[in-house]
Amino acid sequence: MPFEPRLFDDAKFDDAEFDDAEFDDSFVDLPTVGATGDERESTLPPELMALGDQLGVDADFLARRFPAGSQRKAEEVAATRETLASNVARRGNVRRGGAAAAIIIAAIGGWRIAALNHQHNVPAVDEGPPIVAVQQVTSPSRQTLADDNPATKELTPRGFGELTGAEQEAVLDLMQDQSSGQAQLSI
Amino acid sequence: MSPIEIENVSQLYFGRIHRAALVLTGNPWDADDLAQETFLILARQADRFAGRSSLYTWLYGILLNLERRERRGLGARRRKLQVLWDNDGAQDRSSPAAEAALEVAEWKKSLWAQVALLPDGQRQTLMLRFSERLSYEEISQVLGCPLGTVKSRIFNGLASLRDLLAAEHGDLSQIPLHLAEDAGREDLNHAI
Repeated sequence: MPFEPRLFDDAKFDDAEFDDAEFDDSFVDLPTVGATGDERESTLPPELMALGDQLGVDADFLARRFPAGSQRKAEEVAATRETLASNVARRGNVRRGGAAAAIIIAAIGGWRIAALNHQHNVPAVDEGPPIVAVQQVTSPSRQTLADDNPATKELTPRGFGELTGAEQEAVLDLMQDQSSGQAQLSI
Repeated sequence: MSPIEIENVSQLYFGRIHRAALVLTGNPWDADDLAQETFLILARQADRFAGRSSLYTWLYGILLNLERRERRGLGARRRKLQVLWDNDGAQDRSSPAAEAALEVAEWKKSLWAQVALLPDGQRQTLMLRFSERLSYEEISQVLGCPLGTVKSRIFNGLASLRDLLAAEHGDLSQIPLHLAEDAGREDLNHAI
């Protein structure tokens, strides 16, 4: 099979004719052996020889600067960084969510203590049925003991009114999820 | 050629083909794509290699045809874009988006950015000779042209390059050393 590296029909665009225009063969007598050793285009004018040398040096520099696969590696590194940044952001969201829940529980707990003290000193007033029970769970094992957990708190309408906007929103979100009126918030 | 042989050939010559693609295209993204496409064609059409020449010269032939096809495709897109712009009659347009690909500053500073302005034959011959350091016989095999054509392309290519630089800088003795500062190489101004 003849050697034929041309895979596309580009005869229409062949520029050999253009390249060879006005070429004076008598002026240049170039060697035909590989230039891997000391062999050079000794018959080229000096300025053209220098340009050829310069091309080789520039090509060496570019090859060192952008080695094969370097771009793919750079893209992989960038992708890895993005993934890491995304993971860190996700972890940050979890931490922020946990902190917000802790704030809500602390506020509710504070309100509950104040309400208990108030009950001891003031005649009891019917504040309506509990709206939501918020449970603070600090370990998985305690989740199964939710009913007996002393950290369970009740939230009344007055207590709800004392919460901040963000806290109220969080409680309402919990209530939407729990149609029975009982909601559970865990950290 | 078995898959294992193709894999070995790819590992052996990928760097070499990538270097040639980088010099021709001027950016590592296109160079990666062209080099990978070259070896894809090798994998698909390995039976076309008759073994009468070096495998890497065959690979260079594939690469150059792919690169030439890409350039023509790019040229056609630019021409179409130009027609649209001309019909629109707008002034002071920005460069086509395709120019954005040629954004590697190091390549732009190198002589290869000037070589890219030469005709395909000269450009590819100069690359094979001075970047890949192939012999004239190997170049004539890769390009499928007579030895005399290779010689003339080298001479004419270098002469055109010299003229381009002279036109750009006015005085050849003022031609900058492009990458010389980075590479720490010898001053060539005295030779030009």
